[in-house]
Amino acid sequence: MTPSDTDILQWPLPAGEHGTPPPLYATLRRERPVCPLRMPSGQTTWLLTRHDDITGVLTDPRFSRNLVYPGAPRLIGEDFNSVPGGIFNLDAPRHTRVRQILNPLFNRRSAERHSAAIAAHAEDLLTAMAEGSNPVDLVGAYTAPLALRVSCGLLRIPADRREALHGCFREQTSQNADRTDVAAATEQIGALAAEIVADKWSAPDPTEPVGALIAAHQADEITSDELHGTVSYLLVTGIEPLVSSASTGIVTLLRHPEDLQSVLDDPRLWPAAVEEILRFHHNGYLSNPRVALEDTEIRGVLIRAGESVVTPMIAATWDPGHYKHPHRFNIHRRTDGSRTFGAGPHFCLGASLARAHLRIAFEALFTRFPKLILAIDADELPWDEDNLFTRPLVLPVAW
Amino acid sequence: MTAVPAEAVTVHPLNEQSREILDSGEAAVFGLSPFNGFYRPATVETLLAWAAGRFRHVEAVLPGYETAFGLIACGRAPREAAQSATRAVCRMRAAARRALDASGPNPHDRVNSWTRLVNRKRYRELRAQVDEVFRSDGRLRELCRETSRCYLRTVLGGEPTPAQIELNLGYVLAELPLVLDLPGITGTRTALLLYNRPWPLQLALWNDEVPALAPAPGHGFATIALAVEPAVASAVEPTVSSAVGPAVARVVEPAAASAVEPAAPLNARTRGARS
Repeated sequence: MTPSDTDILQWPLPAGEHGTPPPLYATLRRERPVCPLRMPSGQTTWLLTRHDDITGVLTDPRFSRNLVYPGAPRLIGEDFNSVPGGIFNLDAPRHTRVRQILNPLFNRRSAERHSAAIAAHAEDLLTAMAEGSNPVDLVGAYTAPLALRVSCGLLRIPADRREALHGCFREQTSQNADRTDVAAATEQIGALAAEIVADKWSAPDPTEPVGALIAAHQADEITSDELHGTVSYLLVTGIEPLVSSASTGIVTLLRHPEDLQSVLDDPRLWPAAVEEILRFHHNGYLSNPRVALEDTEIRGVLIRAGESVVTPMIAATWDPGHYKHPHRFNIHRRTDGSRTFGAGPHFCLGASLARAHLRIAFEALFTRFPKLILAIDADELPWDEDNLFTRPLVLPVAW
Repeated sequence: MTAVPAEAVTVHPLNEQSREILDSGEAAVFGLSPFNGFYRPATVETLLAWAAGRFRHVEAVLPGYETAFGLIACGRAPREAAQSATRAVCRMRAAARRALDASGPNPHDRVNSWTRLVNRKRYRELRAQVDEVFRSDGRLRELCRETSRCYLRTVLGGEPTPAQIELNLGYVLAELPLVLDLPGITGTRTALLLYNRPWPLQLALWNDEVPALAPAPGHGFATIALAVEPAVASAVEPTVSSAVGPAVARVVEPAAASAVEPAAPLNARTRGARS
């Protein structure tokens, strides 16, 4: 890579207000859409900020998600990008093989099947909330336990086993942890995945994701690495990203009372509100890297084989070339939030589930508590600066 | 910001450790109480301007969302209590930010409610520690409940119910990290908490009554007062709540005299000069 040290930005970039992307993205998109960025690991990557460049990389087979090799680009250290066989770390045809096993369990029909369980968990938590402290921290009372219960129900694993490693999951996605701690967290999560696989091994249920992967491995359709790596990955992706989107979405709805009132007046608008929340917020400001398999040019910048790029989806969904006045939250947009889920073969496996989860979580909350307000000024919300996932650490509300 | 002469504010360190931290001039953190009559905007501006000339790093901390619990215990509806507390905190925050505007970079980052401080790792660690010790240590539970009870008794004009005492505990517990390790929270080697009076729970921690929660070596406390009191210093707030510090100090009172008396009326032990 050729840029001098003075040209290189350092991650993390200062975030925007209220869970919005780093303001610098807008400048970079205009002036330097392919910009060198140094990660906390000390490695340098290329940061893309234009919608078309981002989707171009995600759909270009010359950029690989296989980061399972010594010296591969890392945010800090050996996080889930380093796990061999994990579905997110595979390129075609291995990726296609694993994805085909999981697709039927994460498609729209499957999401509809899970909707009743999501709604039941939501109602259960909201009933407890109504009987408890007011004001209350909504992350602790609702968004975090809801995602935990739903994900563990989907994977059919005990929630307490997943929750016991909560610190490891945070460590693995930290932006400023020690690299040794990141590697140790990844190892512990891998050990939990192995335990879960072992528990289900003798009688795998192909109607749930872990069982389906075990059955596929037993039928020689996927390797042991693909089984364990993908289970490990499913443990990561089902919870924290949804806590992020749900919590941040609620803040945004409460900060935009006119939009919220529109939805309360006409609940048929909830799907549109969810789409706009998905566009307005991604669950993080960065993306996992991809590595160029050959020399490639983007906007006149040469990306050499072996160099990496990062493609933040929130940079794409805030590109004014595709979304008019992207900084304005507007549930009446005609665009949807699909782009937040990526593009190409790695388009988010859980997109339908995430949409259902958010719609049910928001609708249940605001139907039960239509007078909900922030119990502190929005500027006083503590946004998590330590972690890749964008979220308030505490979300005090009253009703 | 107008320069404020050193003698405009009197400051009384709690003990020798606090005196050394004061003398070092490294960091001062003001606890600001929106419902405490001492902390009027003009006073806040004077205090912060004074500190800017004396300390290299100045911050102010406001109460978090738990402020509403005290109002609720006094009969306000939760939603209304939250709105009232929010407005009060915002008003005081604006005054503090104005005051800090001229004294250095990032005034917004140096005036925080303790809810916002949750994004600082050390505050989170201390908050978790406080909760853990509250579960395991009977003396801390007793002290916290007494703090909550005293405050409510004053504002209610009678004995609070156990439920009211429990409700207001959220405030007492959220405040405790600030009396334990401000250097860890502010990222400085030493830091002095400044408030207009000491309060029993804090003094009990200095006195080692809860060994698992001891103020950190670089942490100090001092009371502050204006040498010349504003003309209407005795304005009394009819309502309740809030302050860094003392639920008891949340009661509005004449701002003056008591704050210039020697601090540490209890036999606060001097924690040797470990900084």
